[in-house]
Amino acid sequence: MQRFVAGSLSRNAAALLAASWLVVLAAGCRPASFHGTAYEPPEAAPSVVLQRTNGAKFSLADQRGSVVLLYFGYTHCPDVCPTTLSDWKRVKQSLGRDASRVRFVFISVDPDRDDPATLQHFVSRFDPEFIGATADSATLAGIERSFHVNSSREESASADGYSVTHPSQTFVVDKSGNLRLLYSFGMQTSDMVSDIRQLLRGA
Amino acid sequence: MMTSVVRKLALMSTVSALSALAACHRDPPLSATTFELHDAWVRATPDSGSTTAAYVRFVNGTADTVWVSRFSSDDAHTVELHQSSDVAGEMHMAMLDSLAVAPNHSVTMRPGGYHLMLIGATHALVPGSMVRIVMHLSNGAVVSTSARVKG
Repeated sequence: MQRFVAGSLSRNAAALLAASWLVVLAAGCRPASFHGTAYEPPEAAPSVVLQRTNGAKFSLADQRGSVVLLYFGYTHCPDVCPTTLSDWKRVKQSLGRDASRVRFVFISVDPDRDDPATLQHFVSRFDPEFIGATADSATLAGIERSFHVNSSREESASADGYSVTHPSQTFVVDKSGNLRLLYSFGMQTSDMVSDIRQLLRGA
Repeated sequence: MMTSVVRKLALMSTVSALSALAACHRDPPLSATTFELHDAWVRATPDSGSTTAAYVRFVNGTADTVWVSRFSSDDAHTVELHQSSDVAGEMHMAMLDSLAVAPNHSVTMRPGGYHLMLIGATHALVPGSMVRIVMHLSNGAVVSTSARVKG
């Protein structure tokens, strides 16, 4: 009798264990499990219309079907902007053929110094397909407000002139034009690749 | 027993969070007995006259705080000490006069934190080449390191 009860208890425990593993596995397989900070629920990305370095218009609304990475920076930024673009370069390389459905957009928030040639030269240092785009200060301020971010010029004694305080995150927009993820500075590139692949699959 | 496990987990996560926080600013003490410069690198730039950043690990094995200042290089017109800091999603950059390295501690410059700004490269800095960076220490010494250029 004693042995029977013990056996039944262990069978129950085994069933419970199996059930809990199923729950864990199911959770792990959920499609929308991202490394970046997710917008819950996703929200329609604001309108972004900028001037590309080749003079053409860049409109975020025209990018449906592609995943878009957006970063607000400036070319005189010696540390975090080149680091972000360098990370993007690795992400693009890791994506291989999938990269053709991803747009990497570096928005200069320093239009006074970043003329089209300067901006194009800067982004091309990392990848010739990266998009450099900017606008006049008023348009940029409107776009920043719609993303709830801010940039501002900081006077400095540096021989390089003023610096610009700018958002540190990368914004990720999905194929349907929804803001889906935020990447903090220094995000692992392998995690970004994994997230972007999920978004390309339609997660 | 469950409470004790939870307490242990909470303690462990607090300790690891505190260690992570400490690592942001100061590396754990090392066994050096002098002031040393390690692992210096510079981000490549294809253009003469452009600006880029260099990163160095400072190891202070002496018994005194060492302030490092007055940076220079033959490969750039000006070298300045700066610190990037991410404050609630806004990236700020500040120019500093000197960097203090506490006794028996090290400070690691890295992207998004302390860095040296190389302003006006005198030539293209190509991956694999070396850039010599000179700096002054508060104990009167002038030291230098060779930083490898990385793409």
